[in-house]
Amino acid sequence: MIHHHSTDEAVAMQDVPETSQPDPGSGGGSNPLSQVVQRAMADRGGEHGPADTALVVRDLSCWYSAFKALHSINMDIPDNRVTALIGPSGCGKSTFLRWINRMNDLIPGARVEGKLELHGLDLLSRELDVVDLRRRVGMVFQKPNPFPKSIYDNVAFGPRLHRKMRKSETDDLVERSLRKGALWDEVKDRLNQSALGLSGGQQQRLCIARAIAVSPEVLLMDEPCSALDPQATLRIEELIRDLREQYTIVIVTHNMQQAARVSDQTAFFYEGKLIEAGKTLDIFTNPQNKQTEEYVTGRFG
Amino acid sequence: MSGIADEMTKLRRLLLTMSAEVEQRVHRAIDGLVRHDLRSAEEVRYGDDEIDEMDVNVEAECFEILALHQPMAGDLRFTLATLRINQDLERMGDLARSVARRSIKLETRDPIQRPEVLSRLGSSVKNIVSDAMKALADHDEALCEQVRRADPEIDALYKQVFTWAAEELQSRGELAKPVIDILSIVRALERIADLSVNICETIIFSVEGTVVRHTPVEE
Amino acid sequence: MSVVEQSITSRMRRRKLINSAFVALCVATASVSVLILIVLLTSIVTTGLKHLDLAFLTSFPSRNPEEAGLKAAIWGSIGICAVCAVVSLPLGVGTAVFLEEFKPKSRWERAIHRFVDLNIRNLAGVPSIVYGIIALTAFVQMFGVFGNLNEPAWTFGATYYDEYSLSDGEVGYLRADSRDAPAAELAAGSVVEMLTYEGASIEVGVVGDFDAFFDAEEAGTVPPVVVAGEDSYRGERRAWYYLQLPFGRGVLAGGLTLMLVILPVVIISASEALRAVPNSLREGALAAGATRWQMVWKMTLPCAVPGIMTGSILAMSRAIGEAAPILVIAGGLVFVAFTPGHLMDEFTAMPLQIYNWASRPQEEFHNVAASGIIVLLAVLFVFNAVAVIIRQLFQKPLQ
Repeated sequence: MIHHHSTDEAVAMQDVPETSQPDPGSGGGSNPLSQVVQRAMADRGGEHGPADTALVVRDLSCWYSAFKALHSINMDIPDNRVTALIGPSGCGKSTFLRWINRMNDLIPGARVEGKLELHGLDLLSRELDVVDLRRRVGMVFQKPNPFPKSIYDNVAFGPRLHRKMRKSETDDLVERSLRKGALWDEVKDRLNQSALGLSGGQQQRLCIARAIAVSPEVLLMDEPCSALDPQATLRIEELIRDLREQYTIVIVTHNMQQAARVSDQTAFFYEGKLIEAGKTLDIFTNPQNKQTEEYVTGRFG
Repeated sequence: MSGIADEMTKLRRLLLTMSAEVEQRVHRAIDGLVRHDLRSAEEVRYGDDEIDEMDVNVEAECFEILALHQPMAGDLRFTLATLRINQDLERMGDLARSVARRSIKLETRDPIQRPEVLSRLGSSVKNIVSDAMKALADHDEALCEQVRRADPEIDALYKQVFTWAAEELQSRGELAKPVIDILSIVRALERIADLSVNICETIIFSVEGTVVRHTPVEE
Repeated sequence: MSVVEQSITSRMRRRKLINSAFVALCVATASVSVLILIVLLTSIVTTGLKHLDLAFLTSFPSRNPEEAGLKAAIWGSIGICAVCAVVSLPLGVGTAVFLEEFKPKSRWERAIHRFVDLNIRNLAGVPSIVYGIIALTAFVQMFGVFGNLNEPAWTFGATYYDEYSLSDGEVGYLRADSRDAPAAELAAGSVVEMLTYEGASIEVGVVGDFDAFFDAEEAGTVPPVVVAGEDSYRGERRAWYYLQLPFGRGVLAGGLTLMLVILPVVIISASEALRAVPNSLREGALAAGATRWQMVWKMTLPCAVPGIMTGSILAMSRAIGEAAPILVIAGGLVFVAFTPGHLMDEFTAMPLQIYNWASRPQEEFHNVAASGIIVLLAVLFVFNAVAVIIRQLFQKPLQ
């Protein structure tokens, strides 16, 4: 059973007709906590009013050969919001993330069913231009993976794949992307040095700058801070909060505090099922599902 | 270091020990008043130190849980609720002491005809406190709602005592001192009932996550 | 001291003893191989050094051991190794890219893919003489499809001449249209434009009989004369770009043979180099919107280049030392006293020449062989050194 919170923002994480069930606890949006939620969200960098839906997920199931990794996921991911996917290892959250830019195509035996749409574009269609999709959906990985090239070439890598660019144009783009990635001031004097000489946190911010250099609509982040120290983590989290103004961000994380800190929406996955999705503050203060409660309070298993 | 589950159990135990102690003190203070049981009243009058110590312990435990265990969801709500309930319990302890003190004083003065509602008010307050403590132990939302509904009755009794006092002062002005004693006693009892209601509302927040403090009681 | 501690101490002593014994054994085995190498090298250097000079590198083989040189073999080796490198690098790297970067997804294709991969690995262990025999059929004779070796079915870049003996004792060359075109009819009393061997144009008079021919020779009359109707010999000149089918026992066939020998090694080392590129870089490139091709060309290949080069250079050093397959396709120990002029030209190679000298009965030739070995070893040493340098210079950490 999937619980969804009834919230003022009906589009944010709406109930799917088939699985819709009235929540016993919170009757019809009169939950004063949701006021608290909105106040907290406003503090968190401005409420944009109701968000449009970026990604629509309906009955998404997937298999690795005979193993069913995702069981009929239903979810809406709003535009210009940070959506966190949490859950224990192997719960399917990364698998789900990797369908959004079709990185799972690389895995032999991976199969998918259901509907996954980005602004109306069918992401699971066979005819989909995966290369174009990946321009629209950037990705940041668990371990920082800077290319063994200069900092400049790292950022220019993506844009250069897609079109020819003049030097001045590239210069501008690199600077803009590095500024957005909150790295410009640290590296502006050594753009031509190898990216491998940067610290782990800098490398990850470089990877974020690299991902946004192709101006994607959606940014996928697969545990972006799990290899970083707390201070670097804090900087990345700050960056994520800044970036939500312009991008729709979906972040997988094992660190619940992180999900709580950076995300607007949180979805809890367990054993390939979406157990509960809702506003982050609700999930972490008052989850409706017992499994979610056990997971966020650390009593899982 | 123990896990958060152990810490939460410890916190719950500390809180329930304290609530049981406070409940007992309130009962004894009221018994002292209603049954003229001076020994009970004396016990309550002295020995508030225990409650103070418990109050500090509960707060320290909440502090530790918040600082070291980052409680989430139910744990978070319970910890916050405990901070609030702890404060209310401590206040209830103080009020019980003041009831006891005034009762003793009342016994030493010239006897007066006490209002009949006083013993009814006393037993109502005892009931409401007991119910609140039971709701706290059992996370019983229904009982909490019952406590909230019971509060107006106490207010009504409280007002009756005021009416009595006004009449008494008008007819027998020389009895002003014992009347004032009784007035301050019923005022403390009314406060104790209010705090019980507060505790119940906090329990509802802890269990459901909803804040009912500012919503009227559903009939 | 307790019993337990005592037993631990006594065991400790034994463990330490076994440990030092093992270290000693390792040192001993390593020393043996190093010692053997030193003995071999000293014996070769002492016997070969006295013959080793510049003349040895710049003269052709000779029947006289004092004059015998390595020039033909050096150029032959350069030729076949160049062919081998030019062919095997793209083929090998291409195959490795296919095997590593374009793994198919469906089950059947995956099975085929694995089968190919496994077989390439097995091929690396096949004795090189087997490749020699395969190459003899496939490249030298081309399964006989294009006729026999002496009469290739197709040629390109060859010009044909009829050779005439002239009255001045020289030979005159008259251009023929093709190998099989009939010789030109020389009418008595005419003057014909012929070429000297060097290509200069000369006029040649045609006489009716041998008497006139001998008269002219005696008189030293200019221009020289030739006898009409005399049988001529059909000769052939091959340009540097001469090609033929079948390839014959030439440099091209030799290079291709070496290619067969080292291709599995190149493929495997290139595969390993590609496999050493972390997957995160591939994912990063793909996630940035690269196509498979862009990912390979802009990410994995550049990262793998040092590894590929190191592996390829080591493979080439194996190729340059191969004797057996070359022996098969070069048709035994031919005496080659010229440098190859085109891809189809006959050749000898350094190991072949060394083998040739070493198998002669005269003691002096054995010394010459030792000199050849020193040169070969020097080349191999340079190859390996370059490989090490490349590895040191370019093998940056990838992550």
